[in-house]
This record gives sequence, C-alpha cells and structure tokens, in this order.
Amino acid sequence: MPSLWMLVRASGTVDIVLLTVTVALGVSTIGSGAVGGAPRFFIRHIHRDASLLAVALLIAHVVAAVMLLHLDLIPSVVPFASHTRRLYLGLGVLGADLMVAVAVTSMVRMRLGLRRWRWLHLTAYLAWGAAIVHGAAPGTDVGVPWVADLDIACVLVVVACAIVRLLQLQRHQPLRLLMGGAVAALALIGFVTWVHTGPSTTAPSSGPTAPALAQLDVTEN
Amino acid sequence: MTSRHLAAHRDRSLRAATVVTALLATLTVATTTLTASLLEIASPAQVAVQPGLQVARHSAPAQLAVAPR
Repeated sequence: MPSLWMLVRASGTVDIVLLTVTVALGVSTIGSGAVGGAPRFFIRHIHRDASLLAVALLIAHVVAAVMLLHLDLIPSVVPFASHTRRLYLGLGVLGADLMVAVAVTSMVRMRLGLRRWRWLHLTAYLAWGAAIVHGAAPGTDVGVPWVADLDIACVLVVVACAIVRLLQLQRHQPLRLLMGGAVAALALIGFVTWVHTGPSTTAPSSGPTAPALAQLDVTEN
Repeated sequence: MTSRHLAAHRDRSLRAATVVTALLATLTVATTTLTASLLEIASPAQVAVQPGLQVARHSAPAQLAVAPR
C-alpha cells in the first residue's frame, strides 16, 4: 500500500515541524510580558491550537503505521516493546504517549493545579526530543538532504527560542546564561554530527542475493 | 485605555488567533501533500524503505550492477 506508506512518512515529517512550532511558541511564552509585541494570550492560543493539530497529525501517523505494518496494540502504545527497531520505534511511541499525556493534562489543568500541571508540561520537551530522534533515526527519510536539513532546522529553531528567552529571563545571571548557551551549542553540534554521520546509512551492508532480484520483480510491479 | 477598549482589543486578538489557526491547519494539509509528493520523487537510495520490502529495493541495484559480469 504505497499511499499508506507515504502518509506515514509525510505525516511524520510535517508533525515534527508542527511540534517544533508548538514547542517554540511554548518557550516564547515562558515568563511574563508581551511576546514580540503580541499579547501573551494570543501566542498561547496559537500554541494550544498548533499542539492540537500536531496531536491530530500524530494520530494519523500512528493509525497509518499500525494499519500498514499490522502492529499489535502493545508495541503501538508501550515504548520499547517492539521487537523490530526497538530503540527508535520506542522513542517514537514514547514521544507520542507523552504528547497525548501533555494534551490531556492541559485540558484538565485547573483540576490538576497549576504547579503540578507545569511540572507535567515539562515532559513536552522530552516528547519533542524523542520525536526528533525518531524522525532522524536510521531507516527513515533522513538520507534525503532536505529532510535532514529540516530536522536540523527544527532543533535550531527551538535552541534559538530557548536562548532568546534565557537572555530575557536570566540576563542578571551570567553563569546560568553561559551554561545554558553551552548546553544548547553542544546539543546542536551533537545532533548535526549524528544526522550527518549516524543515521544516513539506510542501505543494509549485506551483499546482493538472488532472492533480492526476485523480490524486486514482485515489489516494483 | 478603558475597559471597553481593552475588550475590543482582546476580541480583535482572538479573531486574529482564529485566523492564524485556520491558516496553520490549511498549511498543514498542504505541506503534508507536498511532502508526500517530494518524497515520492526523491532518490530511492535515500528514502525510507517500507519494512518488509527492505531487501528488495536496497540490494537490487547492487545485484543489477553485478549481474552482467
């Protein structure tokens, strides 16, 4: 089913961008005061709507993948329970679970209490990180140059937003600023290196085999 | 600024946020379609291979290169 496979890949790629937009907007609203001249509630409104769109696209991504690969229920919802591609698929499942948890807890945040909700909301960063690594993992479209560049741009946007916000909120704490900058730079350099060296090798190392040609006839026709 | 002005300002901002959300939704659908098209025309050696078909699409070109010898 090529269209379903295309939906899995396209929805995953666009969802990473949407998640990045959501996280960037979320980072921009930390603290108090207007954000770039816009009222804070305006940015929060878009942050909420973008996150809901991201969750909707995530559901399409997961449902298409489950239908295509005939995944069982347990590996689809429990992280690292899959037998194939355990780490990277597990990270995707972890990110999806956390995203849904963040969305649900945000809907009932008044009942949860603001303090507890804020702690739970921090897991959104973990969800975003897991999604980014899942999207740039070996065996994905990261071998396509513009997909790799898109993944790097996503990390760059969030790191830039975090640095800008850190500069605004911690300008009287030079040590914290320095540490934040160093961590952000290391994360960015590490990710760029990994994307350019690690996951790009999608072709298996095994040599050509006779059944491979036979299978090509079946799959290509 | 009076409370009436503030309410009007808030209403305008909310309306703008709704428009931005609608734009974002449209953009999401459009970019998903565009991404699917772009991935379809990308080099087969670079794109992700559907699990189960991995052996066929990756090792076949190598086999073809070897075959004439």
